[in-house]
Amino acid sequence: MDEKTIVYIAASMLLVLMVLGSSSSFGIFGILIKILAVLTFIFILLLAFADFLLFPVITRIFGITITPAKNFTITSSQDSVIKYSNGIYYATGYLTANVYNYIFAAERATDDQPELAAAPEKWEKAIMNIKFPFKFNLIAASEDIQKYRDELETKRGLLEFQYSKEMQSTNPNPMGLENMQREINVIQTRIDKIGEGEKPVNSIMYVESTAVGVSLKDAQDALTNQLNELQTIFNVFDLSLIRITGREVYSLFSFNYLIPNESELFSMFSTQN
Amino acid sequence: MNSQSQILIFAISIGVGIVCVILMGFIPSGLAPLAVVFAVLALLSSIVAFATKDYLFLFEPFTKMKHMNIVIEESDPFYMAQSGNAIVVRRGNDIFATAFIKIPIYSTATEMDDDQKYNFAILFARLVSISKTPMRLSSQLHAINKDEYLARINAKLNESEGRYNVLQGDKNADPKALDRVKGEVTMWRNMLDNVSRSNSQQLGVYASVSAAGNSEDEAINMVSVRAEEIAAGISTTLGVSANVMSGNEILVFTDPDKMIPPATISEIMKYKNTQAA
Repeated sequence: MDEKTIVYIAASMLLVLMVLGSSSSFGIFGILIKILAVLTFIFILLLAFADFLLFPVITRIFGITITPAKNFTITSSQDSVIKYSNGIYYATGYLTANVYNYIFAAERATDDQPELAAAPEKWEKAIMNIKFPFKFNLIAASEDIQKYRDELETKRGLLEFQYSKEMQSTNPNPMGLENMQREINVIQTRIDKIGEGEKPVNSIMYVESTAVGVSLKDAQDALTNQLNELQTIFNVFDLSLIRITGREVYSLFSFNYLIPNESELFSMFSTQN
Repeated sequence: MNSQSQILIFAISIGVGIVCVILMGFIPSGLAPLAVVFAVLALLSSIVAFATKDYLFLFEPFTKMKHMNIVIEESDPFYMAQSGNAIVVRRGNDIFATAFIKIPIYSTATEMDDDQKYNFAILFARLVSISKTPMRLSSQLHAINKDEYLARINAKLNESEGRYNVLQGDKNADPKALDRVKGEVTMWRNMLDNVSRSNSQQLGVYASVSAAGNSEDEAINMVSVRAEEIAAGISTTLGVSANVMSGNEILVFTDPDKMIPPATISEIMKYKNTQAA
């Protein structure tokens, strides 16, 4: 969770707690206020951690559609952008493409040569099996090396201090020590890689596909089939491929025309990244 | 709406909520229903305050919602710059330009040995870190508009059929020449059948980058400079001649109609039906 989210949650929750605290002197109405406050508490938590589930539920219940631009519509299910042109419906949907983080791989200082060498061939085989339009996108921006290195060294220093403190305690926890050692190794590996000339990069990956149909349902069904097929095909790359729903559909739609600056970009994907 | 508006709306919402809670404190127990009203207002303020974090873009359009449709933008998502080398996007008073860089990669993994494949993967990984400002690298598989190509094959077929008919009508025609023209007619006919039957696709690799400006010209100039820098970086890293795209080339990567040209829809549908069967 980033700092901004923490500030927003803390301020909103504080307000809810203040309402709860002020409700005690109103008898039966006080109980009603308490129930409403608890419901608001749950609603804010859902909005913070699962808005990609909550937002489509709200839009679907009320049948709300969004028009992000002329001739484009985001359906009430919040999972596709529809363009209607010359009697044809074009439905566009998105999948996340997050690389799984393996702690053991992150500890290794050297690249996995066979795996990297296999990547171009895997990509070509995947492309050969796709018979419909799709787009694989990677938005990347390199970080300030010195700043990133300083952050890593601070983090390593803190972990080393905690490690030595745990070692000196009368009853050290072996599991905790092992975990800390592993975290130190991961950070050290990152520092070493920077030393070897590798640049730290912030990135977001996603897959986009467009389907056509003579009716809205036809286009949406075809899109679902295409995205399912892409999920199967891109599994070979060890990626977490999940269909994107909710407000991020609008963000990804607008990325086709405009790439926002770094801070905007990464704050958009703080939860469903 | 920018981050200043975001902070302002967040602060106002929290402020309204706090005022409501304070007013609740002054309400005597006999007027408890009024306390519920203030409590609801305070709780709504807390939700609005939190929603400003991610849903600010919907606030203004939401207030103008008609028939359960929230209109964020009434105009086209972009328009082409006069120079044709970028697209321009307007968001309220802000103006942005986005440029697209074509990355022509002609090598294939089937022609590489393991070392070359490894080196290619490393080079591609380096490509990701060439820009400090966010850059989008995309690989797009799209349908080829074969209308023009099919028309050319058709013209060739008609021309060879004409020659065949002339030769057939000539009693002194060389039988070998007649056979040759007959073979040509068959070739063009087969080609026409094959090309129109199959689903032809093209893979395009490109990078895109955006820049903001106080005016359209400023945004376009800034993005052009940035795009040229990135194109130079890509060319050096991958050893290809990356160049900034212009005009219709850009539309293939931004417009669904161009990604799937209407002429190819029947083929795609045919494929879809085959898959469904």
